[in-house]
Amino acid sequence: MLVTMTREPERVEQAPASLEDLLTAVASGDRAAFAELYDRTAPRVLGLIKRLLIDHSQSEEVAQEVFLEIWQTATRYQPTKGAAVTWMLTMAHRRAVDRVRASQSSRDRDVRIGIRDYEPGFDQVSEAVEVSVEHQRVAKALARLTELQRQAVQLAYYGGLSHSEIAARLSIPIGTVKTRLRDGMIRLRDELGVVP
Amino acid sequence: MSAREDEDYGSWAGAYALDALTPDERNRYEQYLSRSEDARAEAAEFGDTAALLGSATEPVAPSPELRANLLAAIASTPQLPAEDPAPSDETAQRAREDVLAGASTLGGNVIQPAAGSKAARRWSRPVAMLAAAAAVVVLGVGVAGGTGLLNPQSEQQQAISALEDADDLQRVEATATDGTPVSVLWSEELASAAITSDDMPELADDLVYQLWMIRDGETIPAGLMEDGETSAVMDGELHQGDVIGITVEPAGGSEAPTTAPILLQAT
Repeated sequence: MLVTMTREPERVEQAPASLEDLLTAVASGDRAAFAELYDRTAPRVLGLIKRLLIDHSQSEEVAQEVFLEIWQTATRYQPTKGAAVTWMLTMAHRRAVDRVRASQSSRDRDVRIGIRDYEPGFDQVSEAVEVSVEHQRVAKALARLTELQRQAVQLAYYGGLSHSEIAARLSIPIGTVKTRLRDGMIRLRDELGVVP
Repeated sequence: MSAREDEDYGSWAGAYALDALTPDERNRYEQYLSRSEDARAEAAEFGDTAALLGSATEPVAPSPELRANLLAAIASTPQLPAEDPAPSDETAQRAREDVLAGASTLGGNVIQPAAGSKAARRWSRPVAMLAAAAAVVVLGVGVAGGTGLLNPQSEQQQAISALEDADDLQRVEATATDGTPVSVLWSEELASAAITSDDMPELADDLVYQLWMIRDGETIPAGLMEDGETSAVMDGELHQGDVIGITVEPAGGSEAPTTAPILLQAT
């Protein structure tokens, strides 16, 4: 499932346009800018979606919806409010979660999540491939969470489970799930140095 | 909303950023965000944090077809207008943006009319027009009161039967944002519309589904669908080209939408 690919190309001669610049150009109807934005972000967007949906063709369907939405709503993107990649990945995650919950019966999902549990953990996977800087940073930050926090955050974000599903799965009260998710996010935010 | 409840919402911040809330909870939390500056700041930080989790997944190479499909699609897909009147508060802005984003999906593949229907032929109408129509959240023209909203089931059924018998019945199997299948029925001859769904998620006691007709830049309240009901006939006369919307509102309904629509359907 891991594929070698070109990430954002390093250009020596000429500074590449930032993703924010590209998105701003897309907002004015620039289709070439959209193509470049797509080329530079599609593997990441699809990677996130596929992490939740597993199935490749379904993941591509959702990725297509996401990029179409990016094209249509780029006019609404405000560079002052955050990075372009944050805006895009937030949209992709929301849509992937919606698809997970819409398309899977609970039994299918249990099977799917069960399979994921046997996949190697975050750290092992990362060693097998060229590891991105973000990947290393996030893996390090996740390692600073308590086991219980990490489990809850990963089930929510990478599993697409709702807090009540997490509660049922771990046999703990919903209130406890919410607290773990919030505490986990506070620690991740601090470890990752996210500043307002 | 009591301070006690707001205190509870404070613990939802992580679940919200991780998309672990149901659509209904998400809406309620966003209403809470509109009341709390601290919560908004935390939501922004958590949003950035969650996106970092997203950027740490293994990249996956898309098929060449995906790129080709998209580049072909954007060539004929209008973009939303950039206009953005000053919002009264963040929730209203979010709601409006979501209405826009929702209306935009009318041009995508999310809510598809049955092939060959009149709705399909109208598909060519520019999305931008729909978006503009849906965009302006105007204070309601007349409030949908309690009367007429709680029609006895038999009246509802009669109205729906009449619709189903109409010569020009249009029926679209749409999907709400949470994946719930919703049938939208309308007839121009009868100037009437209705929605039916057997699977609408149950709402908290203080919330209700509210129907809207979006016309000429106005969102017109068109009745409520209480918990447990499987159908609702829309109040008021349907005009040609109306967009039908559903939002989740505080019990009793609102004069104008206060949350993002869970469904928009062009007629």
